[in-house]
Amino acid sequence: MSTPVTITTAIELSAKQLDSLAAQLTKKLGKIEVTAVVDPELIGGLKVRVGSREYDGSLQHKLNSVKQQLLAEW
Amino acid sequence: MSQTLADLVAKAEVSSTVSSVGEIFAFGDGIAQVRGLDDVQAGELIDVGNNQFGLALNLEKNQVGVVLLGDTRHLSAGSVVKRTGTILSIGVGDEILGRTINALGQPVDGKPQFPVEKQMLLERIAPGVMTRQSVTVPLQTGIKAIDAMIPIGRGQRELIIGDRATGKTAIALGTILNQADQNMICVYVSIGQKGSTLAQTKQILADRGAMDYTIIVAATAAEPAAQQFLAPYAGLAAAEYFLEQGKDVLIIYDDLTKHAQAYREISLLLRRPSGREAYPGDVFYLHSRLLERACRLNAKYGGGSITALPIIETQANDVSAFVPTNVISITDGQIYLETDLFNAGVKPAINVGLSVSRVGSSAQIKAMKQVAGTMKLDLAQYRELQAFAQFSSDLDDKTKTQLDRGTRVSSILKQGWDTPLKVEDQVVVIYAAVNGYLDAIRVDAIQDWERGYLEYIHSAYPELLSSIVKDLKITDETAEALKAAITSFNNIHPEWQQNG
Repeated sequence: MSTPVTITTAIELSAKQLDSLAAQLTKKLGKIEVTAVVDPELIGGLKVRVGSREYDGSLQHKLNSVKQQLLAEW
Repeated sequence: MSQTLADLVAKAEVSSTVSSVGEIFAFGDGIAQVRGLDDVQAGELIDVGNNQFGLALNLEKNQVGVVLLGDTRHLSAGSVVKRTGTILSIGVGDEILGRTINALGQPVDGKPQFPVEKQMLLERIAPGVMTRQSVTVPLQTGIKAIDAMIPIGRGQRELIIGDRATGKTAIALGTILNQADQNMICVYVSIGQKGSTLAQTKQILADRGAMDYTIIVAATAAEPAAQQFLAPYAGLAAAEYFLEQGKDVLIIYDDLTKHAQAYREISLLLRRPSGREAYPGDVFYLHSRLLERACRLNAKYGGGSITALPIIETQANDVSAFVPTNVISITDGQIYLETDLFNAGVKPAINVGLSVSRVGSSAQIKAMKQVAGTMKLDLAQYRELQAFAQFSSDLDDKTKTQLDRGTRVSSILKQGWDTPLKVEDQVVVIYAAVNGYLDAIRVDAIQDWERGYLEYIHSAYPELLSSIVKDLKITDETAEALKAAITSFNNIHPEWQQNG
């Protein structure tokens, strides 16, 4: 049974980058089925979604978190 | 300025995060059905973006029903939502007193956020048996009829029930006004009311200086049903913050009928099975878990108390409808208000026969017990006699005296809703009434008599009042002095006596 994994990036990844990412994920998750999505809103970095868990390393997310922290302190 | 900003940015913690997410696949009527959110907890807050949240209430095999708690215009099918990992809670601090908050703990009175000292969970298990103490300290409502015959204690739950426009909110507000010097914090939860009504209430409390010790939780009729459902729990969370400090809190839920209706609305939209009157099966648990958290803690746990005054609105005096019977069985007594009495000018329109306080005289000071001990029974006998006497023209003297006494005692219990009386004032007034000093006064002059009498005692015999406050009972010498005072007062005012 292969686990569906969605990788979202701001710009399209090259085949080499995608393969190396898929290899890392296979080590953790076993057989996976990768879907690559491009979303310029992320600005940079990437998001990996497995089932209902999402790893968010995008620049958009980091900038948002800085914004929240500034608003809280202000 | 820019230096500070640069510092803040440099200090900010930036990292990638792992979160549990889901996707909305159906969305409407304030409910979002979400796929994903695999390890969500029941009652957990869900971040739906734009600083808005939802509550995960329906955990099903393949989907989660999320009740939305705020502005949801940015959502649509396909939107991604995240778990927050926190069960619903509000931030409370000492400076919440005097503020108006909504069901999510956010200030809605236009003033800035108060400093938050603790996060209080909205849903908690009620204190267990071993942490409690029996109710013995009175809650003085300032209303003669209640403090004398249906006394409420700190830590009790007393239901105020009646049709619309019978004075239920008035009793609640009058009680808040009387807590000014009673070391009591008040929480007024407004559920489903008109915004204009709440504005009036706030104005009254502010004008009388009651806002210094009162918190208002507002979930008016325009708020989403989910907020109306959560408002009582939010009020209770704030009350428990003070309870844990060992303080006494009074919480008023106005009203739980609208609360049950809001819960019914959410449950039907979540497609939960409905029962009697289309209410969901757990509508009893909705109120029982709310009211069970009103308690008096023993000294080991701080000695604080939460007294609850829930309000229920009946339709056509039907106390045997579903939600009224539920709440009557949960509370420690009820104050039953009747439209007929209200229209006949008996205000507060309390039906003393049907009203009861299951804590009773344990929550009265001895002085009050001394004067009002048999008043309830006497009034019951008077009412029976009254019904009988309507049809009889020839009454013996004894019956006539009893009727006259009963009329005067009933009349002395009438009171303006915003004129609470201190307990010592109540004691001296009721003492005069039950000991026959009103028998010679005209019935229509009783209100004037009472006003004049209290002024007289305050100016000429203040030591009588202070001795009652100090000893908490009427000693023999106080009684003698009181008798003399009343007699002299009656002599000064022949204009209120009836002739013959």
